[in-house]
Amino acid sequence: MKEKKVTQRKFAVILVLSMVMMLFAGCAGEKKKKEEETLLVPEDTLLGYTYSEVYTPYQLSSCDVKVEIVQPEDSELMVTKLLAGDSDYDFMMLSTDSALAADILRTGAYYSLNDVPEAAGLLDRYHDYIKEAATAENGDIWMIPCGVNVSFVLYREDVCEEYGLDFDGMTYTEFLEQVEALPKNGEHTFFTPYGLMTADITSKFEQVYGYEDMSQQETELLRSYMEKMRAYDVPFNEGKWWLLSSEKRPEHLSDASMKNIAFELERSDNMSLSVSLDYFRIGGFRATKLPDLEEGVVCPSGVRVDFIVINPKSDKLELTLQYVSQLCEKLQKDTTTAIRYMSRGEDFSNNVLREDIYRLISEGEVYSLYPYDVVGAELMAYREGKQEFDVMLEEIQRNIKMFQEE
Amino acid sequence: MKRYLLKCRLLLIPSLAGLALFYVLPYVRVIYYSLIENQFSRRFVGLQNYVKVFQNEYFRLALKNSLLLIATAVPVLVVTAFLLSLLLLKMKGYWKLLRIAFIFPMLVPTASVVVVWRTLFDGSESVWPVYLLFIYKNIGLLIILLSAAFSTLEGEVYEAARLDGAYGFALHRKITLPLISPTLLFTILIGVVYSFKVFRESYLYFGTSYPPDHSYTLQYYMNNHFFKLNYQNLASAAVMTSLIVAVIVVVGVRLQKKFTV
Repeated sequence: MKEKKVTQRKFAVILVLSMVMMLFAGCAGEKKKKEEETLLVPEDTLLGYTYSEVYTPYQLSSCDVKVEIVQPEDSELMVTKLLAGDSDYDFMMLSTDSALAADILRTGAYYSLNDVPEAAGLLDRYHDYIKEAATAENGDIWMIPCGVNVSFVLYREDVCEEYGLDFDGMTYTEFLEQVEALPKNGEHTFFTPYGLMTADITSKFEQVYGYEDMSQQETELLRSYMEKMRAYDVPFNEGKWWLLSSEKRPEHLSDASMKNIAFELERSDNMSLSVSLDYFRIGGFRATKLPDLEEGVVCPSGVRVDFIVINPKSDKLELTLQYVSQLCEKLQKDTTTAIRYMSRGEDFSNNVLREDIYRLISEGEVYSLYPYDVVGAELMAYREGKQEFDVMLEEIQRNIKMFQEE
Repeated sequence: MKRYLLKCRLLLIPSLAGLALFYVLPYVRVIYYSLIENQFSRRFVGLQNYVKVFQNEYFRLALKNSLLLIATAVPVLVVTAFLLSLLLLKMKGYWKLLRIAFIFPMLVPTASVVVVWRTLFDGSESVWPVYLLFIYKNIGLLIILLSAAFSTLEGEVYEAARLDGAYGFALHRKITLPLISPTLLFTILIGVVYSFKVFRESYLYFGTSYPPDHSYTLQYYMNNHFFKLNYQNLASAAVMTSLIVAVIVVVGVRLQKKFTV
């Protein structure tokens, strides 16, 4: 009798243990299944934090496939691993001006989307130059454009008329002259953040002329702008941050104070859905192309495209392609401003500011920049007064030669 | 005896497995990378990558600078370490503690040393600060090795030599040098191998991936290709560098054996 009880107890214990183990196994299986059904995308400073900016929740939830944004501990290692053929991440998001984007294209570290009909369909919706940027030389669709950035001059039409300001077709030199001549303590605030201008001038110089073979005229042009930047640049001339306003720009401008803004240099932050949104709402603002560098040399607006590129070594390639297919389908039908800016034949006539920005993007061009180490570091050394102009130029050209030929 | 040998072999298995896993297999992988078009197409291209790398102007510049570092900084490093070890050998009492001071450069992070170096040399763009930094960082290890070799020398040998009339420089030339020659050759090899690894010091000193031409070494070439994700050039350069180091080491070991006999 006693033995029977012991056997029953043993049986009960074994049963309970088996159930617990089954429960654990079930949970682990569920977790694994969940992991298998979730795509991983890295996001960090190296990639520019663009994914969650562009991928607003509506886009993430619009597809059946779940996407998890992962912040890697070591971003450089992550990129290296990814491009060495690692399968940790299924896709990533980059911008066309990053050196990494050029490296991906050069090394062929992308999955060709030619066999995804929705991808080709989406590209047909976009401006020709964006479609061209998304297509490799061999005809491969190597990326899916998802967002666009452009810099421009934002201005109040009525105020500028009052002060006789006309930005159309002007050079940065003329722009600065006009700004300098404005009344210092007038009713209106003139925001001219030289920090933005500095970045734009150097990017524009790279976009139009490059630094490889500069003629004497281009050298002098760069010299004159670099001197201006050195004289007014933000980090080194704190007081001149807002040239005509002694106050620093408040983080959140009230509607009333925004109406006093005459103009400012603005960089749209992923489809102008953040800062510029207020300008759209308040009204009265217009946008025009950034000034040119030189009279007679018209430069289209430099457009930075944020895009998705698929890891060809992804373990979940099938699922990733399913996601891309759904995403492209969704983007093709997208009626929000984000995708419309990149699309051909859109009508923004109900909002004059959006219409202006749309025109700038339509007539823009995708540009790429050298890595910071090659050009930016030398420009910075000059601006900080650590290097003479001629030495800076010589160093930039030496770095470019080394970068290209090594 | 057989059992003993078997035990020895069994005990060797973990370290051999580690060696295979962390050194041999990655190296084989590197060789594989150097023979394919890229890691995605994986098309075999034979020695094409090697030819391309060797024809590259900057690889040749890097190779020249690396060899120049061996020819100039390594002899200075070894001779200085040798002389300082001799000097430390003669130190008595608390002065013996001085040898600890030479170990400090190995412990101090290179980044901190570079800050001092930049101040000391006023950010000079010449090659000498980097050479001196290389000597400063590695001299401690060489002093330890040479001091250990000196400490094994027996006093009777010197006494006998002195009785035979050998003093001062002649004593070291005739007695010390031949006796410690295996260690000396070993330190030279260490110096050569370490000179191929000079990068961090130079990178931190110049603060860029594109240093002045005279300081552009093989490590820069490989590092830049690593960041450009050009693994084929990187792998080919790495294999060539390791072959050069291997040749130097083999020659060194042969010489070492010759001197030991």
